[in-house]
Amino acid sequence: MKLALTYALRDLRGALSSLRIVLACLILGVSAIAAVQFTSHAVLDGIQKNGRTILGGDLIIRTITTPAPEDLRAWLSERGATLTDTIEARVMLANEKTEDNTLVELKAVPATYPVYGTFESDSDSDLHNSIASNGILLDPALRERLNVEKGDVVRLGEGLFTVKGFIVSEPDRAGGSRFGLAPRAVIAADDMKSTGFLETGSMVYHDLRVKLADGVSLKETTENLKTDFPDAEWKVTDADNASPQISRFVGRMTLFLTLVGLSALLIGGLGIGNGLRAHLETRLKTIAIFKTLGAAKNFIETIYLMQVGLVTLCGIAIGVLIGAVLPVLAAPQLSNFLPFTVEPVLTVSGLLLPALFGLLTSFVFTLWPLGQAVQSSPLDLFRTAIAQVGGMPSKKFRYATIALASALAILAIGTARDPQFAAWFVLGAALCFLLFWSGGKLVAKLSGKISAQGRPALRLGLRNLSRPQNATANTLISLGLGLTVMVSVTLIELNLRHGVEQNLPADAPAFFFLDIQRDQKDGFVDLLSKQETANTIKLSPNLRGRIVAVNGVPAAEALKDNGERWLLQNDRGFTYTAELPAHSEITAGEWWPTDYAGPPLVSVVDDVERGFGVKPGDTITVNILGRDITATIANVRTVNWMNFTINFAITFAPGTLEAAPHTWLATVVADPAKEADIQRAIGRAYPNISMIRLSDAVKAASGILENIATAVRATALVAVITGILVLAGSLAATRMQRLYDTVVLKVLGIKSSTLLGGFLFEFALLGFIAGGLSLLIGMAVSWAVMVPMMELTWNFYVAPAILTMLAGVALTLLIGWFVTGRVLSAPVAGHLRNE
Amino acid sequence: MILSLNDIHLTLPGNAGEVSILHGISLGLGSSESVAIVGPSGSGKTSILTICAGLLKPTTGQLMFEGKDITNLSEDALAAIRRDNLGIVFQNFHLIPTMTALENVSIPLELAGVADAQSRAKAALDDVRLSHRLTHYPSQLSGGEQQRVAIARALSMKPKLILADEPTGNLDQETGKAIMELLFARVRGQGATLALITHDPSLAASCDRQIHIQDGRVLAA
Repeated sequence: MKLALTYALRDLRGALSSLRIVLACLILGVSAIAAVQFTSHAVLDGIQKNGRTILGGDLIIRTITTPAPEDLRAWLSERGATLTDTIEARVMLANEKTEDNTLVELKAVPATYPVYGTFESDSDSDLHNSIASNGILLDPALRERLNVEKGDVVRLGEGLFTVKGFIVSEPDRAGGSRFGLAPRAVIAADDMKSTGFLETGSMVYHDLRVKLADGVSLKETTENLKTDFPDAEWKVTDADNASPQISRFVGRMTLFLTLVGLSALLIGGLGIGNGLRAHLETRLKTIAIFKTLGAAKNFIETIYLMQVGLVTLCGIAIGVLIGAVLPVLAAPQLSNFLPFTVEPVLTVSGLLLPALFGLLTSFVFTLWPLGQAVQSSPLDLFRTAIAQVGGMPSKKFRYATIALASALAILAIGTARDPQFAAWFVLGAALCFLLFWSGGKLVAKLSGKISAQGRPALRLGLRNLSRPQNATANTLISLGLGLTVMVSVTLIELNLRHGVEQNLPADAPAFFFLDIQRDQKDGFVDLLSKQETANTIKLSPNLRGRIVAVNGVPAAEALKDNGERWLLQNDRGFTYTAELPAHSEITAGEWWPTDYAGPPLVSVVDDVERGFGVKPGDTITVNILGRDITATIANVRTVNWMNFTINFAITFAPGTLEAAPHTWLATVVADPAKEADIQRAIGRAYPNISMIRLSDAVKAASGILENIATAVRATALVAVITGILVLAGSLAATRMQRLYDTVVLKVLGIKSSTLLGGFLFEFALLGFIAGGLSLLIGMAVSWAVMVPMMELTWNFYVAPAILTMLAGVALTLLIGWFVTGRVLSAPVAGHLRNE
Repeated sequence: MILSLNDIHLTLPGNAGEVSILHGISLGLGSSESVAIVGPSGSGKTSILTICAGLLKPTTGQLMFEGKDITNLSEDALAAIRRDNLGIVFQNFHLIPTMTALENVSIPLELAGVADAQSRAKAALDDVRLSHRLTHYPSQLSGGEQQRVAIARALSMKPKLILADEPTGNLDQETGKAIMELLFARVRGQGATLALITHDPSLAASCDRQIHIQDGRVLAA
């Protein structure tokens, strides 16, 4: 082994130039994945380290409408816990002077808040002095939105508050699972009564923030809580899982970016394979000499496996190092975006995953040429020319390549948060490779069949595409895959950002109104219908509750499809109706008669059918306001959610829920120019009714997507750059042959312009094909992500499509010219002498 | 007899079908003798040499080394025989370009697991008067010097049989003569057997015996 290592190292002398592309491809791919991993770990580590501060307590026990019960408080106090009650509600905040209003996330806090961390605002005094006596602190975003400054008066429900300042830092902003939906407003708990929200039956969340006594275990307390209060309806969030929403988001982003990074690495794999093949071609003589001198086959294989290993490790080390440094640069940006400080952190798994991806990719792409090279015959030493790397490698190398490729797929799928998504990625990547490779082979074959007599430039281009050892397939794969990633990402991004807005149906509501009380219903409808352009007012009863059991089996155990876990998270809305809701279609069972009066029946959407594997006739038990209601499933329906009309996952037939206390939801269609007037009119008359403007919601979603898109595009760019590198490497390998051709053709009297025409034709054709195929595959990928996976609509955007085609042609021409163009101006005489 | 070829036939696949190269070659190489294999280009000389080296398997016939039939030994077993008993000198020298003269000569010794490989390699280079070129790479040496390094490498394991394929073919006459004097001196000094292919009649005449090959057959031995 030592001797093999010695030879491997000796043989690497002066090999840097031939291994440049191998190293560059490895470094790019590994550094992209490492940067994603390290950044993700830094964010998750930040949540873990600051769990108590982010959550705002060791535990938060959330109840709806009423505060936590006394027996729970007594249970916690017995264990020495300190309790702090805060209230949160999503309500309307209005500028008293202008009557402009907007949805805010209101938080009412007592003097003991914050339990952990420090609350900062630009107010002259501290938090509690600022909010005392109907003072209010606002998210800076509200300054512009409501045109308010310090000292102005704002209205919350029935209460008037004076703006005392704007929030600089709220330590527990990301806690629990309600981060970033609307701007924050903070008032004193004592002033909550003056708003009237507590009395009107608005959706109010009571958070009992628990600070455990020193030495009390958080884990034990959480477990004991579950044991001692098995039927409790409250929701417990603990500091060990302080921000499940951000954790989930980071998890999904990490998966997506890692897979985009892996695309770059796979494209790079081609460059690694080509680069190593070129390197090994310079080592065939050495291998033959070793064989002549009596070295065993295994020994020679070990030398070159070690060599690949050394180069790979070198590339991985540099890649991981760059990947570890990038989060240091990104951390300040992330800290601005996230409500806590992100500190770069080096983790073993952050290092291991990109390293393993790099190692496996490198060997998957190099074992084949290595297996071919070690078959080099010593007989070649007795001939004048050494053969090129070719032929079929031995079984051992073939099987190892397949095994390592499988291991790479398993690693990508096994370490993914969403294995199904990763599995589709692996399958897609393999298909793309195959498609571009087959495309390349087909182009090469067809080019060889066209004679192009009398058109020397065309013939030269065609022969370059079809000659032995041509770079046609490599060009298509390297450039095509990079462009495919970019097109897919761009089309998905455009669809997500603009698609929702563009696909809004004509009857899409302008507003969603929440928390309409029973006694407000008629007056609200009357007022709303009087508003200019307001039409198509739709009302639905709204009750909150949760799914408890399915066919008698506890809901968590009954869940069959983890993709539908959202059905169990948080409390859900329920409604009742006699008529089939708009934009719904029955797929199983039948809708109930409008005059139905009988045992409880429900209609469920297909997500419930998929999630629990239920069908009409099965039973589902829900808990609404503390009461378990078991209903039989009457039918299953599909809903087009993109129509933005009110729809519920579970809808009851008349006769079951009417008597329960509940509020109403409403939607209205209106002219966009009149939306502000409607918002002011309703806000003035019904300050407790929350309004969500659809256009605001779409805009807010676009804003979030823009940040995500930047990160995804940056990673996708790595894939394109890798593709360019691989392309440059592939074309460089053909340079000597092109030089030879050029010299010979010039001697035969062919003009430089004809030669140039041939080159241009060759590269433009490859660019068009690469761009065209990328466009088609990118369209298919983006459609698959948008329609079957995300259940959204898909639009085709012409501009990026044309840009992709042009980028394909321009890049190929540019790289082709850069790498091989100089051979056109090579002096004939000098080269003939060298011959 | 250190090596003998008995009724060796060799047929190789070619572009236009199979090509018959050797037709029943039988010859023997005695201990400590020098044999010149001569004949026109394409007569099959190099094929005979590669079969002798165990680098090419005959289609039929028998290859005996020190009385043992080695015709059907595995690639690795033949490699071990080459490593321990054979030295090969090529027309194009075939030194490993990324290794110094000393490292090139050390290879057979290191492959055989010789403990003092480096010092023995130094001695071998000293024997060919190249002790001042130990750390030079092949590209830094003249053709004659490269062939001397190749000879040092071929002889470093003190092999019983040296196979040389036109060892002076790429050298000028004067250098070629000097190289052959050196090769003969070293082979005789070690008591080894030498089989060499040459087109040079005077060089062939310097050998103990000549084997004439034509159209894949032994004309005269």
